[in-house]
Amino acid sequence: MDLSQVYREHYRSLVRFLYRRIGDLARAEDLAQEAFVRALEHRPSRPRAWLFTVAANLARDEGRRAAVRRRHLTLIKAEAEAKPPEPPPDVALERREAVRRVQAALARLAERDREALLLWEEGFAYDEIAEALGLSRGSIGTTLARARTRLAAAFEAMKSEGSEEDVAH
Amino acid sequence: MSHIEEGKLHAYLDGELDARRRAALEEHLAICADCQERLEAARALSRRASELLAELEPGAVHVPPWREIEGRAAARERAAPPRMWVRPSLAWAAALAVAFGVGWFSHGYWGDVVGVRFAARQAEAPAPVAADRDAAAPMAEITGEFEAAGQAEAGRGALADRSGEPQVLGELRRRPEARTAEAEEAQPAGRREGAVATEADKLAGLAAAAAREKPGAPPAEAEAAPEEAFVADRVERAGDERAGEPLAQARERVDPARQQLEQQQPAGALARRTRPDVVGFRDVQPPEAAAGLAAAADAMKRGFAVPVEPEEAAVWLGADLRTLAGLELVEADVAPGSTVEGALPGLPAVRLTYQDAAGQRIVLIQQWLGARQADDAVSEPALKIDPDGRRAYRWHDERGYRLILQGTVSADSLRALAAHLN
Repeated sequence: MDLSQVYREHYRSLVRFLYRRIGDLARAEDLAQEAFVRALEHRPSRPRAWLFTVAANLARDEGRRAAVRRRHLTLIKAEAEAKPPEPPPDVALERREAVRRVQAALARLAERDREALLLWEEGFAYDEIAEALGLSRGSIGTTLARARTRLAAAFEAMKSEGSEEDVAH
Repeated sequence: MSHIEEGKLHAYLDGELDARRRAALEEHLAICADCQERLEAARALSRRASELLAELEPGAVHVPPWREIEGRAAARERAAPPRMWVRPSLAWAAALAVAFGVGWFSHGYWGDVVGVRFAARQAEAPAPVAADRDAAAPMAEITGEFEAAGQAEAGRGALADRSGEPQVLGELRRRPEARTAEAEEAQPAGRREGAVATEADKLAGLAAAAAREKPGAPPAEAEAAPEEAFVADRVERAGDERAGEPLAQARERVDPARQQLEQQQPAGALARRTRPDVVGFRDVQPPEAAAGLAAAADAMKRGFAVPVEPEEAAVWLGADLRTLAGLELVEADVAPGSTVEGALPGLPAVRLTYQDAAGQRIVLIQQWLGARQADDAVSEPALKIDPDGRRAYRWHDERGYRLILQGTVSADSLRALAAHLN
């Protein structure tokens, strides 16, 4: 398949996958582009699965790098200082809070469960998920069931923790 | 009656069961209220997970043109070291050479074994003559089990091959007080000579290449860097002024400098200061001391970049060093502005090279203009994209700096970094 066509069809999906994985849009775009650059070097036979596998690896490396964590913190801090937050509407505030909780809940999942769930949400079939993660096809249903259960439970747990904090304040 | 596994329920809901399993599952569901209930719970859970993940929509995604991605891949391919293709005939020759070497080694090894066995059988034999004892003594030290009797006869061939090293070791064991001096004299000197020869060869190669490619090229200092073009690496011009210089002269000039440097610095420091990624040589001392500053200044006059520590870079700059927070600093160097494209001639340019998570290099070049900068010279970062996909922002800021930020990352990332410059 022509890689430029794959790029047109799947670039946004790859960015979304990475964004959900690392929570930083600029970095997600960088890593998605990096995955396509590597695809041009390697010319994989099944580019979509290959790209998401490489992207997952890049995201994993990203998570391991303390330097990047520092950078994120610095950028976030600098951003906060540069743009003093105006009082946002309640809806936007609630949405931001929800996003933060989902990100935190997702971070509580095991690596493999999280990636299986994110790949499923990007339209991957069980066969493709199994290939990308090195699992047997028969275990994908169980993996997804566990990931969904834990995600929902972690989100609810944080919601109740947040409510308790609100009451305390 | 066993109930349906949770994973199978999810696979069923996801449409991932084959026809046979689906039929079996539906047959069970028709008669099992528990499993029907669990199926509805799984359906709700699946929907809930999708809803939660839908909260994490990235918003407006920047999609660079495909040719930009291709440009980056092409640039990386150009930057990669060339592949070494070995002709089949050479491969055969190499294989034969290895086989011959293995055969030779094993012959020596088995010769030793045979010799040792023979020596064991001859343990009661009379002592050898004096000359043979000298040759056999080191081997006796190594094995620690056999006397020299008979060994010189039986393993003479093997011993003759190895006599050099054991003799040296044996000699050093006998005279420990002389060991250090002799080792320093013999061993590192050989290494130094090899290194000097390598550097001299490199310089001679540069000179020859420059002579071939630019027979009438002007000296480096005479050229002004083009204002509108950016490059990540400095322009190396060491070969220009030496074009056409005979090989022997080039060697003569390099060798004393190299030797002097090695006398002044430990080998580790020299290796740290050597920049293998840049064509040319880096035989200059960093400005760690007054003498070092003079050497660095001299190197700068000749148009070379000098690797420095960040604190030293600030001294060269004449102002506070601007940095990128959070990224890993890989190296820092300072060079005359005239040798760094995009920089202003007549002022030192400090170059900080960082690396991001994906291994991309991000380069920050800075010059402090101070009072030289007119008030109206402050400018917003302007983007320039090179054909190879590299992007660069260049601007003058209100603090009196001329800044260039380069990298093969997306323009948005570069702009974000530029906005958060310390």
